[in-house]
Amino acid sequence: MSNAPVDHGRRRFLTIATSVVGGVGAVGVAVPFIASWNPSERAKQAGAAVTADISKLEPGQLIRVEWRGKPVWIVKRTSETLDQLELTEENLRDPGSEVAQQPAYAQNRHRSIKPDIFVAVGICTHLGCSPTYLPNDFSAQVEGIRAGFFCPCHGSKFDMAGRVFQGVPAPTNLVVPPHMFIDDNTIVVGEDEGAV
Amino acid sequence: MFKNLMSWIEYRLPFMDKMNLHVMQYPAPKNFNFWYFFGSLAMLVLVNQIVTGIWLTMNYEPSAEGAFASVEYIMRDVDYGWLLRYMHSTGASAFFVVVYLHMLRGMMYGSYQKPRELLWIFGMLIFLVLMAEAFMGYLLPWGQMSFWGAQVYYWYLRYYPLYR
Repeated sequence: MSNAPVDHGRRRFLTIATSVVGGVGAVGVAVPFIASWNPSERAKQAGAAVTADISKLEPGQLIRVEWRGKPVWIVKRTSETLDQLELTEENLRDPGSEVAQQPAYAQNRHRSIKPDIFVAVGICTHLGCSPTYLPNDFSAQVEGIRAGFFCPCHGSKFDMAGRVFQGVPAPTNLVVPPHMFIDDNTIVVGEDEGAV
Repeated sequence: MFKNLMSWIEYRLPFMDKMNLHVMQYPAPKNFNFWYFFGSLAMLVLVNQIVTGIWLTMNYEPSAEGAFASVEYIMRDVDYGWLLRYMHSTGASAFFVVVYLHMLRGMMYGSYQKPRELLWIFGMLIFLVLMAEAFMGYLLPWGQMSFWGAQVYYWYLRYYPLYR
């Protein structure tokens, strides 16, 4: 070992250079560890948008598709049904859909993009039962209204735009998921490409 | 200010003091060569095995039915899961490479001689633990290799009186 005096400048430089290189290496090694916490491909698949063919949907018919494990209704409403939407608005809790239970493009009377095609998550906003679609017999629940959704668990009632009636347990309108039309016969639930 | 804070901490928790004593200014013979790297490299690989192992358990399912599928899931669906698993499995092999070189160094330079006989014995015991641990890790994917590897060990142990 030489007995030369310690070159402090050199030692300092080497210490800092080693620390910087080591720090960059540590950050690089951390990348895969932290990135592995991102949603996996399986999780993304489970949350992915679903496509439905509505070419064979008859007026008045309801079909269900599964999106994120939840039933999503796609209903083709008749013009009579659409006309009845404005009849009982004073009996609705939130006729103007002020509560953000829908994307902005569905905040209208029919709560949909196209007036006849209604898309909603078929889960009651009270405690999560799936309401029953009553295409013809809803007038037993609300007089003068032919079609609607009636929840068998606790009696919540929704009109054909998924708007909740007053005096039932459900606090808010049904959720309208983000959705978009690829063409006239194909609908995508769960993705709207940022439409407003 | 920062210096004051550091010396306040250092006085109560003498971290740098111990680092200098045991690592940074640890007195070492000047004739050390690369054969002496492998002890600390073994520690590095051990840290790698522990950390990647913890990360793998985040997505691994420890059941006979679900283990293999969860390993496939890690390899295909988890972001960088393949890298974490390869770091772990290759790291296990690297552990042995490094440990064998470490042992070879000990034999070449007589590092086991008096008064270091116990050091060698302890090292051998740790080596046995390493082999057992590596075998356990080999079983975890519970595929064909794991199953038949376990089968071989089971048959092998049956011929030891204690296991009968």
